[in-house]
Amino acid sequence: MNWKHVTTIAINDIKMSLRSPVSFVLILFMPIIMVFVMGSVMKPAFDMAETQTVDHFDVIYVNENPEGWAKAYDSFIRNSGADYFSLVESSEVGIEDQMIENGYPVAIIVPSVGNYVQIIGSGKGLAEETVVRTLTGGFLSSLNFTIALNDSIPSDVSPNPQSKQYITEKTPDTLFSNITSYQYFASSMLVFFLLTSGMSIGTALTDDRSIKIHKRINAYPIREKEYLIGKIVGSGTIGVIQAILVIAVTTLVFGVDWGDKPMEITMIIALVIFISSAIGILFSSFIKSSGALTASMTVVLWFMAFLSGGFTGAPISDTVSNLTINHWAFQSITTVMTGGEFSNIQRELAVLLIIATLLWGAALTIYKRRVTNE
Amino acid sequence: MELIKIQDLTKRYGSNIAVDNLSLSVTEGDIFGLLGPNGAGKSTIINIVCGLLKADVGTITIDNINIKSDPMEVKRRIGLVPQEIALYDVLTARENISFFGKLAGLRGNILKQRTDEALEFVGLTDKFNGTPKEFSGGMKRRLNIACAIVHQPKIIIMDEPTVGIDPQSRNHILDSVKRLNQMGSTIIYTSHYMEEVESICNQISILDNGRVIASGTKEQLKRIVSNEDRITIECLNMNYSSLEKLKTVHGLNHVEFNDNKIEILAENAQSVLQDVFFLLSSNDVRIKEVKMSVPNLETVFLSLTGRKLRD
Repeated sequence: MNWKHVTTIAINDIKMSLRSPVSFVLILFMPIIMVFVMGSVMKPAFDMAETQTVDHFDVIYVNENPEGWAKAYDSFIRNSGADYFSLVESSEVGIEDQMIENGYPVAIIVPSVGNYVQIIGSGKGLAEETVVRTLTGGFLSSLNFTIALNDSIPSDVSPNPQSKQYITEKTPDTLFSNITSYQYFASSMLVFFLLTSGMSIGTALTDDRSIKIHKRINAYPIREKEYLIGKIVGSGTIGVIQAILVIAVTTLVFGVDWGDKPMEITMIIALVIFISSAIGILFSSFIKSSGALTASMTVVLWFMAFLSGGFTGAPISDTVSNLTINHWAFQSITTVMTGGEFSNIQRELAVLLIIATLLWGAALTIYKRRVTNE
Repeated sequence: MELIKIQDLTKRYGSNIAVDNLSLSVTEGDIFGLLGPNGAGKSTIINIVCGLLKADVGTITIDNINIKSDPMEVKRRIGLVPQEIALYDVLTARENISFFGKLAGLRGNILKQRTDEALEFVGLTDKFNGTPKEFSGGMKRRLNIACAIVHQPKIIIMDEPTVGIDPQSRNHILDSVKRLNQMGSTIIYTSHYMEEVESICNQISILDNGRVIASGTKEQLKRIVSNEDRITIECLNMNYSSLEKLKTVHGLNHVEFNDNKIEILAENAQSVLQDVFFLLSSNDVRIKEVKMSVPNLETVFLSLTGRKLRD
């Protein structure tokens, strides 16, 4: 492998991409403009999420406390909560993973030891979390009122002189913070524009073929793999520049919190760029003109972005959204943004890795066949 | 010394045979012309020699290197001027040349120097900062050549480099080919314009249907048809005695008279023309029209295939 050839091809592609004023604006400024426009337009909708009505939902429930107040809470939450949610019995172990994997918005934990109720929110179901907190808060207020009353009665007539400890709702254990409109659209636009960066390798390959530059390059002492890797590095670098710019500008201008896990964010970005390059190569193997390639890739990428809720603030359907690359990349980025750990995004990363592997397998096979036939 | 040697080369596209058991060799220092109509196999041969296509059968050695065993080393010795204008429109002339120079392995000061030399060679020094989309067809063709010669290759292959350009640019390119040859490069030049091949090539192979149908210098090729020039003189008052006197002129191989036309065959028409005119005028023969036809490569191709070169 001659890396000088790779860098020559890559630098040339970057130079050409950034030289055109239209490309320059589309690549570097469009993502920022989209975050600003969508974030501003959708901000009221995100703010109103707190007052919205909710459908019947599932809540993870753990109650291992043998004390009387815990049994009373158990009875209360089963009866009063039945109108709003169903309890899914579980244990304390791995509760956060269960919430992420199955999309539960809230978990209620009454630990075996201690006088408190712990409510964990996923950060993606604010209304559901509010319902649970309101019911629990009401119960605990009544209970604590009774305890206070008991304290005021002389000990010889008090039925339970030991229960002078008040029961509390433990609040600081919310799993993830709630996502803001700017965070939502910064991450969805980042994913969308990283995927569109694959267009640059697609159009570069198509143009090189149509104006016979590819043939000419092959007459020089350069291997096909050096040429292709150069194209991938060129397009990938543009994707990286886009990502850095989006993260920097949204952090500084819109106050978007990208979380404190740069390695995880980098991994997700790298995977999306990898996937977008494969898509670009695949499209270039079937489509002969760069104009047709840009049009068809734009349709596919916009369609995926809409299905996943990238432009609307919510997916059209969760099931359909799962079929898009945007969904998995977006979920992993927002999880990291709102405080998630690497373990919380393993599933999303695995799905993205599988998609990348499949697309690359197909892209390289078809590309090789296309080059051989030329 | 044989710089390029092609032996028993065959290339098929499905059931079509593009090159059919072809053998030829190019000597170092030649301007070698590959002449043939569209579809004769010229571009296929060039693509195989440049390592862009694989031959089905046959051996090609360039500078004693087998193209199959070391294609990269062969490519280092070749500069290809493709038939198409293969340039990046958004890059300047200098950037285009420099890009291809880097692919050929040039770096630093040598790259800069060779880029300047290539620009100067094709007469685009003052247009170094212009982009191909601002250039005329002829300027693009010249830049196309500059990109191929920037690394000063031993062999320059030009695949129809004058297609679609004005006569002035064509002359500039043909002149460039001769200068490149004088500077030491061996040139392979393909065209279906026989005048170009005839004017610059010292060795010519005529191709048809993937096969070499004739090879040699242009003089050798013309002799395939005939080694005699033909002079046709239409006159108004020719008589028998004048005809008999004409037959005695030195250098005329054959003279006949039919329908007021004298048909003369001579080895060198130009050298006998003055004597013929003198004799006819001294015998009061009035000349109406004179035609002189010298055999050319078109005639050779016509005689070998029964078709015209551009059919």
